[in-house]
Amino acid sequence: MGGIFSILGTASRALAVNQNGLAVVSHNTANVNTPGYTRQRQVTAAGAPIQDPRGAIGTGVEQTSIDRVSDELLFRQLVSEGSRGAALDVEVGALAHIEDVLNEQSGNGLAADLSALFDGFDDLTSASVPGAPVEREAVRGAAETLIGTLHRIDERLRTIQSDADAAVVVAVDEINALADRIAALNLDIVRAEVTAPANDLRDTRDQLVRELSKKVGITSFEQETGSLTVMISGGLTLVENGSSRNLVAEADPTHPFDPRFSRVLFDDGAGRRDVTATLREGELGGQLRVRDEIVADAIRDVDAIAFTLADQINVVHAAGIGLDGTVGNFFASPATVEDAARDLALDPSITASADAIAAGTTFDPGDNRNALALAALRDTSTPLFVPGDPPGPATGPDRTLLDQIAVSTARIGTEARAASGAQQAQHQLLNELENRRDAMSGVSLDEEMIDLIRLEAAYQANARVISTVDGLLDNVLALL
Amino acid sequence: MTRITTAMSLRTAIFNINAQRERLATTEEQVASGLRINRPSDDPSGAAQAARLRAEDAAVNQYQRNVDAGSARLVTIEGALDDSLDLIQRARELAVQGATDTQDAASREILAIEVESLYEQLLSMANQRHSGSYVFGGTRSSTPPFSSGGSFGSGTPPMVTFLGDSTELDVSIGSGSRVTTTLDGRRVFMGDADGDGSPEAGRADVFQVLGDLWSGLMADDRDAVAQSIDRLDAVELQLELELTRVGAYSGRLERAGAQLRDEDVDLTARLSGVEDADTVEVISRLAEQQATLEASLRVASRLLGPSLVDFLG
Repeated sequence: MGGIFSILGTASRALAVNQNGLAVVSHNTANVNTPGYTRQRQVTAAGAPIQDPRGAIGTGVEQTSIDRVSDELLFRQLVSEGSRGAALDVEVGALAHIEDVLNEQSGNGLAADLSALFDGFDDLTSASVPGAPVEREAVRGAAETLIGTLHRIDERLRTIQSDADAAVVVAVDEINALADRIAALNLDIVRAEVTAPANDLRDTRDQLVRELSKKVGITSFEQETGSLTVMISGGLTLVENGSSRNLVAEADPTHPFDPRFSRVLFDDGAGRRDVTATLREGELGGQLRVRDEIVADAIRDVDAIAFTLADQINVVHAAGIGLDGTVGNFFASPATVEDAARDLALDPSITASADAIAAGTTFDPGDNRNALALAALRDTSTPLFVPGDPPGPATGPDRTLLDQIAVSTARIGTEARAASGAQQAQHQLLNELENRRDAMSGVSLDEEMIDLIRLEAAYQANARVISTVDGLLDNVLALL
Repeated sequence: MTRITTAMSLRTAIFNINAQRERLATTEEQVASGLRINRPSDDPSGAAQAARLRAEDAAVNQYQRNVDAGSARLVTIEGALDDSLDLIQRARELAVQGATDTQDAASREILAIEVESLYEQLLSMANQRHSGSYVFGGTRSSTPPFSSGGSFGSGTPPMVTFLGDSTELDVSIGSGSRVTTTLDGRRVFMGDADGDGSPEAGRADVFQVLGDLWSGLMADDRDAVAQSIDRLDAVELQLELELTRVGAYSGRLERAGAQLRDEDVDLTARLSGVEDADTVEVISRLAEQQATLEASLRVASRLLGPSLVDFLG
């Protein structure tokens, strides 16, 4: 049979447990707006009874632990979908930029400038003043405008590309810093959990893992010690226990666009290996895809148009004769499809004199036969030169140049539309997952308030027990 | 039952408000620009179609300019041929007068003086220019195609030689379709289409015929003058044939011009159909989206309101 003092003991433990409960409520309430906070829950159990043949007497309440209400599966989904979402965000942003650069909807742009050049050749055919001095200048002017537009488009695309490259370097630094912090937290958690679950440290670590997942695609699993192992795509271990490996961004001399562009290496301590191609997700994956695929394709498209344009016009132009007797090219012949847009320029003979424009098949001032042939290129479909074609024949699709511009623009438009559709769906999904996480782990103020009332009542009741015991003791003491 | 936590309702509200703002921004852009397609991703195939229509329209406008330039040139040529015909008809009248028995050497010489003037005028017609271009000179448009050596003063008519080029210049009036807008001066005035230096059968060198008429009148040779009448008839026919040709070219240009105007209207309408926003629809959509956004904002402001805290003493 328990003594009167053991009742006091039970009541005072109960006060302490309820006070702890209030502390948990207050912690939860305080963190209602903290991102990544996981609500905590006090777990209590009845104390071990004192065994007595006439009946076991309970010893009150015990706090067994303070738990974190989380769902590891949900967390993993958030991590992997977050990676995908971050990559899409980057891609959608870049595609919107590219669309701006190639937008023809205002009626200005590459197609309009190319039309103007063909208009110039047509005006040359119907010029009435012998030698058509004004029309020749107009053709040269239209060609210069077209070249300027191609240069500007190329330059703006390359700016988007080098911005993506700069972002790759930044992302690598951020990934390394995050990996280091996760490794340090691993140590802290393992150390702390010798005694009790390190709820708040785990929240911090989860938050860092989610941040890391936005930078690069990762998979993670927890070991029995509580330490988290993080691997990047390709199964390479980035963080294990207290140690982390680094990604290294270094100039890639074999990059087809710019030898200063970075490749990403994984440094496992013993050596480095190139993982650029395996990185598809997170900001890093997104930026790499923007740099090496999305913008690269757009630049190649413009290059193909510039090269084919120069080739088409040069072939016809060289068949004619300029007013000054010159036979030659209209554009300086680009050597390869690669960089054709950046390097496109007028042939030096045309720059020197507009009279070198081969309007005729003779150098007679009224001869318009070659100008007719040049103007007819407007509707002439020829195979497009694609990268790698020269010196061989063109192997691209057979279209007019104006059509090709429309097709290229539509391709970017389709890609942008698909990416932004995927992005919207991804945001919806992430929102849904966040809600599910919140439903499980988020703080509900209503719930906390109810707990507050519940714990307050329990505290008051236990205090009443103490004052009752106090009364009992007074009675006993009065007997003395 | 799902726990609805404080952050959840706010997140959902923010997500929805953002989505609505984005839709509203798109609609506002459509109202401002009047276009349904403001960037290729708004409707990739529509944007490609619009690009093609714009390129086609640019070409049609250019073809219209070509037609105008070609027509202007043909008007000049037609005028020159008309005037030349008048000159030839006058020469025929003079030849008929000169061939009558009542004329004597003195009166024939007076007629010859008028023929001289007709000859000079005809030469100037053959060297007719259109904004500085010699229209009968083919590609050699900057130099007079017909040059006369010698003068009537020397006792023999001057020799006219053709220095031009016999190419006829085309303009383009559509994809792959061209119309000729000059005539080969050598064929028109010298009857020599193949360039062998002498007129084809049934054709005549106009200057030669006038020169011979002048010589006949000066020599008081009634028979020679009479012979000129038939040759002048042939010349008249020759010029009329060329006029018919010019008429045919002008007709083609005129029809092409009308067709291009129709095409321009049609292309503009189609372009508008592809890329223009339906104003009524867009504006009512704008109003609807604004109302929805307002409602969402009102709801969100209430979300922040009630919680159990409000009701605890």
